[in-house]
Amino acid sequence: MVAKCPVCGYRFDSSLSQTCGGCPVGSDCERICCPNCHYGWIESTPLVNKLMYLFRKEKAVGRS
Amino acid sequence: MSSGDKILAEAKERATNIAPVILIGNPNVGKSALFGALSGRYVEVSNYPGTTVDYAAGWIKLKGEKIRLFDSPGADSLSPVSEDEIVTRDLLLLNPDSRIICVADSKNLKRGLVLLSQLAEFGRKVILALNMADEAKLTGINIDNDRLAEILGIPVVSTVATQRRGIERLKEALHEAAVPSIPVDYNGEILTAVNEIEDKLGDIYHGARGISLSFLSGDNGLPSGIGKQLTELDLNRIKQVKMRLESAIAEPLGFIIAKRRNDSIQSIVDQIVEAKKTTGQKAFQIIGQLSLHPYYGIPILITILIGIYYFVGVFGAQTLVGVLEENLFRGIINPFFERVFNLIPVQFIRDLFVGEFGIITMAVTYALALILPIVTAFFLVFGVLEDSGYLPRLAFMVDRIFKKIGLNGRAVLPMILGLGCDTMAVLTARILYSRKEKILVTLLLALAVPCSAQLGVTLGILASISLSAVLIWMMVIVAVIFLVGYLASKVIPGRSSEFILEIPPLRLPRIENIVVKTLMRLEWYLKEAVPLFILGTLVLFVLDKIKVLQLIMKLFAPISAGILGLPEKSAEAFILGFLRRDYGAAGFKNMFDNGILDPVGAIVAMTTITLFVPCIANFFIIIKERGLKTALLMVSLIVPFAITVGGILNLALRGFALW
Repeated sequence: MVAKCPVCGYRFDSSLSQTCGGCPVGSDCERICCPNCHYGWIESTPLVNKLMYLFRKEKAVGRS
Repeated sequence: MSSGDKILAEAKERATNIAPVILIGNPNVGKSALFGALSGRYVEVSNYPGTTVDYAAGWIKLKGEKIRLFDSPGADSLSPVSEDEIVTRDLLLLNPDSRIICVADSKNLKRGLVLLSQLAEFGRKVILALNMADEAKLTGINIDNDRLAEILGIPVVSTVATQRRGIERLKEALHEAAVPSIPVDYNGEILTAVNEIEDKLGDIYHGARGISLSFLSGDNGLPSGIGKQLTELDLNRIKQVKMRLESAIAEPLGFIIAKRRNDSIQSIVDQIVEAKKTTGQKAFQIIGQLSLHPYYGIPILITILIGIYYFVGVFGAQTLVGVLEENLFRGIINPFFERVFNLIPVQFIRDLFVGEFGIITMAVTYALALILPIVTAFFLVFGVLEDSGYLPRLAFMVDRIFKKIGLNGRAVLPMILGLGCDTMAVLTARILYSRKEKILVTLLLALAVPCSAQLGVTLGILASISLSAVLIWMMVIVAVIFLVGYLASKVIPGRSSEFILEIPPLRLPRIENIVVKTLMRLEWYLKEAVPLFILGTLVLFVLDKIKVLQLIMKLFAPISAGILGLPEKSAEAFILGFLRRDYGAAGFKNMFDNGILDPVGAIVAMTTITLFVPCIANFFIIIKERGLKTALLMVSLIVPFAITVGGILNLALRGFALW
C-alpha cells in the first residue's frame, strides 16, 4: 500500500517498511514509520475501518 | 491462456505492428471515463498477469484506423511503490512505440505534470489531456493551455470526459504526440550516476534514462521479465553505482529525485496556472506562508499552543475528566463493583480488584476516567494539526532552530519526530552510521522526547493546574533538549544534512479524517497502554502485599522528600512511570486531586517523570538494539539526570519563591 508521510510528504510502500521489526509491543502494531523523516503514524486498523464502513453505509442508506 | 495473458501477448505482438495508445494518469482523474469516451462501449477488463491489478483494453478509431487502447491503473509515479504503479510502468515498457495520453486533473495540474515529467524521462511520445476542465473553471482555476503546450512542446487538450467534450480534438492531437520537454535540475552526483546506469541499460530498455532514475529512486526500479536480462556483472555494477550515491547523499535518493522534479514542475505551474482564490483560501495561503516565517511563525505557534492548552488542558483534563472520574467512576461504577466484590468473602480477591491498588479502582479508573479523556482531546488536536498541513511547518521551524546549534540533521530528526512513538524511533536509529551516534540518539529519545500519548496526558494534567505550570514544564523540557542537543552536536560531528520536506498548502481539515485518525490512535493506545496499566497495578499490588512497597518508599524518601520535595507516596507513581510515563503522571494527578501534592510538587513530579525512560517497551527495545549493558548504563544516567533536573526545579520554585 502506498503511504504518504503527513510530515515530509515522502511516498513509500508501507507494507515493505521494516522499521517496526522486532518491537516488543507486538507484531499486531499498526504503526508505520516514514523512512525519510521517521515520523510514525497509523494508516488503518481493521476495527476502525469496519466502524467507518458501517457509518458510511448508514449515511448512504439515510440519503437514498 | 487467461484473458490477461492474451492481452499481454497481444500487446507484445502489437508493439511490432501498429503501436497502441495508452492512457496513463494519476488515480481518480477521470481516466476510465476518458477511456470509455475514446473506445466506445466494448471494453475488456482483465487482471494483469501475476497481479490482482485490473486494467482495461479496447479499441480507438483514428482516421479510420482501428488501434488498440489500454487503460493503465492509476499511478502517481513511474518509480513504482505499489503493484498498480508497477503494472503501469510495465505496460509502458512492453509497448515502447506506443503513444501516450497523459490524463491530468485540471484542478491539480502539478500532480499530473510530475507523472508527465517521468514519461519525458522514459522518452515517450505524449499528449496531455487536462480533464475535469469544467470543475477547474468552477473553482476559479484558469490554465493557459497554449503557453503550457509551448513550454512542454506537446499538444495540450482540455477535456470533460463525462460529457465527451474535447474527445475529437484529443484524437486529432494524437498524431502530433511528442516527447515532452521538462528539464529537471538533478545535482551533479545524481546525474553522473544516472548516466552510468543509463549506459548499462541503454541496449536493453527503451527509455533507459527513466528506468535509471526509477532504479535510483526505490526498490522496484528494475522491471523483471521485460526485455533482455542484465548480466550478473552489469547488475552488480549498477547496484554499486547506487550504493556509492547513497553513501554520498544522506537522505533517501527517491525523495531527493522527487523533490527536484517537483521544483521544476512548480516553476512551470507558476507560469501557466491562475487560480482565483476565495477569501478563505487567500487567508489560509497567507497564514500558511507566515507560519514558516522565522519571526511571524512564532506568534502563530504560540496561538496554536494556547488553543491546545484550552482544548486539552481545560476541556479534556478538567471538564471531561470531571464528568468521567468524579461522576461516573467514583459516583457510580466503582461503588457498584465495590458492592459486588464485597460479596466475595476473600479479602485478597477484593483487594486485587477494588482495593487501593485494585485492577478496577486503579488500573481501569486511571485508564478510562483519567487518561482516556485527555488523550482523546489531544489526539483530536493532533489530527487537526496533521490534516491541516501544520505539522510539516512545525517540523520545518524546529529543524531550523536545531540547525543553528549545529546538530547533525540525521541525529535530530528522530528527536523531533519521535513524538509518534519512542519505541519505534529507537529502531530508526539503525540508519545512523556509527555506534556512538546510535547510542546518543537512543539516549536523547529516551530522555526527553515524549510520545504523543504521554505528551497529551502530561500537558492535560499540568494544564488542569495552571497555564504557568504548563509553561514551566515546557521551558525545562525544551532547555534539556537544547542542552543535550548542543552536547550531541559536539559529540556527533559531521555535516548538518538537509531536512527535506514537501510543505503542503495549509487547508481546512476534514472532520471525517480527524475522526478516523483519532479513533485509530485511541484503539492503538487502548491496546498498548491498558495492559501495561494493569501490569503496573499488579506490580504495586504485589509489592504492597509483600511489604516491599513501604520499604521502597522509605528508601526513596531522601530522594522524593529530600531532593524533589515530594511525599513518600510518590514512589508509587514513579514505579508506574517506569512502565509508562503517562500512567505515572496519572498517579501524580490523582495525588494532586486528593490534596497530597501541592502545585509546585505536581510540576516537579511531572517534569521528573517526563525525563524518565518512556515505557517498559522502550526499555526492552533499547536492550535489543544497544545491548543490556548499554541499556542499563542509559537508565543509570537517565534516572539521576531526571532527579537532578527535578531537584533543581524544586529548589528554584520553592527556595527562590519563583512560584
